[in-house]
Amino acid sequence: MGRIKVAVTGAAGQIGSVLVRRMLELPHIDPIAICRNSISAGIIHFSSPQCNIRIGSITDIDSAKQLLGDAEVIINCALAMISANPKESRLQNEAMTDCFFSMEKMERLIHLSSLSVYGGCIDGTKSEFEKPRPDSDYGRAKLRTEKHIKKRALSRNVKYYILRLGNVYGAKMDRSRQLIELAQTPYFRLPFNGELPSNSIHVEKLAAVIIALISNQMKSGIYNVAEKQKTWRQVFDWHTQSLKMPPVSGMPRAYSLQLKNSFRKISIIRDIIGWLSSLPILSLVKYPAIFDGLYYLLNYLPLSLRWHLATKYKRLEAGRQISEISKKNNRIVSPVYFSNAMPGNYLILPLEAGVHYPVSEKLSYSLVRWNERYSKPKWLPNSFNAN
Amino acid sequence: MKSAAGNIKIGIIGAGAVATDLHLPVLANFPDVQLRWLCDINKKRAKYLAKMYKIPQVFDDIDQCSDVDIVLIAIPVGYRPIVMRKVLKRGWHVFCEKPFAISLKEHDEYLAEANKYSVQVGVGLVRRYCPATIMAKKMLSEGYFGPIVEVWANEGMRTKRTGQDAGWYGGDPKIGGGGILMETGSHLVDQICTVLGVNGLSVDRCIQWTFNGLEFQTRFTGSLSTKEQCDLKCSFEVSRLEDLCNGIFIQLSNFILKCGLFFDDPLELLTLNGEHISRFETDGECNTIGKAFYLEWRDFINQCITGKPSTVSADTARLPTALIEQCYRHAEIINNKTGKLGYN
Repeated sequence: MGRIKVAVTGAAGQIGSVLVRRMLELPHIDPIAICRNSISAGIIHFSSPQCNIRIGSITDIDSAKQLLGDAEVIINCALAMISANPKESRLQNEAMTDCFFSMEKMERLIHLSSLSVYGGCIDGTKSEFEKPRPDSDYGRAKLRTEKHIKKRALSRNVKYYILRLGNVYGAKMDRSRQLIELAQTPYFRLPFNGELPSNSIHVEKLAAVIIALISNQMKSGIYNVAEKQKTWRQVFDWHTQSLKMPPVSGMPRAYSLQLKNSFRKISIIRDIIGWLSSLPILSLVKYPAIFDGLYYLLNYLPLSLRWHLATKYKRLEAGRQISEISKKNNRIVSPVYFSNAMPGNYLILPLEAGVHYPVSEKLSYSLVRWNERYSKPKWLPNSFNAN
Repeated sequence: MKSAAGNIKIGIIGAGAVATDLHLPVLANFPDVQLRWLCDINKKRAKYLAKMYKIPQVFDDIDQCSDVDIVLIAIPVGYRPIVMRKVLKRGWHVFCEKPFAISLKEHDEYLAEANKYSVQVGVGLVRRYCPATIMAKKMLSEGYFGPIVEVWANEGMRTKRTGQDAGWYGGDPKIGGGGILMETGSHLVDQICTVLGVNGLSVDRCIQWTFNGLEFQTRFTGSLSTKEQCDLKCSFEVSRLEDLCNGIFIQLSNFILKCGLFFDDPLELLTLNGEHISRFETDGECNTIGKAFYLEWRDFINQCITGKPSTVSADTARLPTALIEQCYRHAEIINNKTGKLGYN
């Protein structure tokens, strides 16, 4: 059996680069890293030096044929996201998908989507597997691309897998950096003490699963990809234990519930009322003419009413100042920590023979080394070594 | 050149991201400024921008441009020599985006030309306006903390996506000037020189990771001299390949002064082990990049009116240019088949 040619688009990205590196270790896979420019090519080179790298556009059919024409499997880690231009992003993502389905040799397409298609704070009763409701530009772009792939797949007899990836953590992953920073923040409290499902997966495990899918006979379709049973507590503890940090404290249940409900009840009217109530009406008093007028009026009020107003004002002002502190603390808690599990089908498949999953110590070690590099300023003289 | 409402005529060369996102929005809000023309080889893009900012003329050839008081040069450093000479010859004051030049020779040639035509030249090393940079410079120059033991600086973030196609200047070492040291390191090196008041430097060792001639990571160790100290040990690292501990770390006898690199970054005191002790409150006047662009334009216009050097005078950027040039010239290059970084 010959080696399977697997093209990875977006190969310089967080997940693409790990996939390419892992595939290079396997004798039956011939990975091709696809990227847009020579900077991305260099980044791929330094993480996977032996890799076949091709540079060009995957939205232009002629260029795409040069890049992808000989690939039997395409793993798409790319997504066009043009700032403030969702229409252009959509057109580019559609053009990219159309190019994939124009590749005659392609037998299977593995497309990486995201849990963000379900919204920032997943509520399986409102955002369903078949009818997800994204609430961000990113989630909407992912969902539109999923739909376009499904539509195009009907016209060709190729296997396709749309993988809605959970929160991907591990060394060099943005999610892990965020978790470590939260764990270092003294006033951070983990909602529900971390009992909720994390919808997460370690990047090395994810890479092993995707590689296993290259030659597996699974039915085409959409799958969630996450370690289903893993809670946020387990994910945080893995990070803090690896880095020898104390575990993060839990947020009281009642307060967690209150915040969860506030994240769930997203409404324009509520936002407008909230904004109106935050207007600094009381600061009007600082204008000299208004202050003078009010002061003049106050003198005509009975003493008891004046006392009542003064007390009320002091109480309101204290409440405002306190809420400023708690708002500041709450801002660091993202809706993602209040999510339920992703609804619907999960990808469960045995890891292929030869596709190993690194042992826990090795994963922790990678995390520690990465964290040391970005948290410690001094790298010399011991590490000033070219080889 | 005199300042009166709408009296300063400015031309823009280059309709790329820095002009679009930063210079044009700021200049459009300047009371004394008239934007007269925009010149770019991509005339379609230039026309679009000109329409947005009500700029009357668009060109794709500098020779056709009408006379102005000041030009902004916002094109990659590799395209600049011909443009710079043409512009200086026409007697227009020049505000040039960083990096100013790829070598000290080129830098000095521009300054000599400018002198010949009595033209003011400024450079957009905008991080000189960062509150932490300004405060650290003041504290160190006034000697509040005593002698410096050693200096470390890092700026690195693994590039995950560029959003740019194959023709992008950043991917061409000849047009972009070499790589990450020229592109981002020009800010870092300038901040080091600004904060410490560097007046001399030498390279002990420099390693660069390159691929197809493009540099992705640089490590430097060397010595700096300031008014107060000679042979001050300094190390820095810039990287596209890795997340680094970003900042300038100035080790003093009992603690470390950490100067953040960006506009909302603080100036902090750390223990010798790197643990946070406290942070200094800055005046916060310039806590965004937009405000900093306004201040550099305000200072440069003032320089053009008065003829007196300002914070952004190009002659104040000679040392960073020299240090970066020396790094590229003396670097041990790693572009081997394994490509592995030294600490792996």
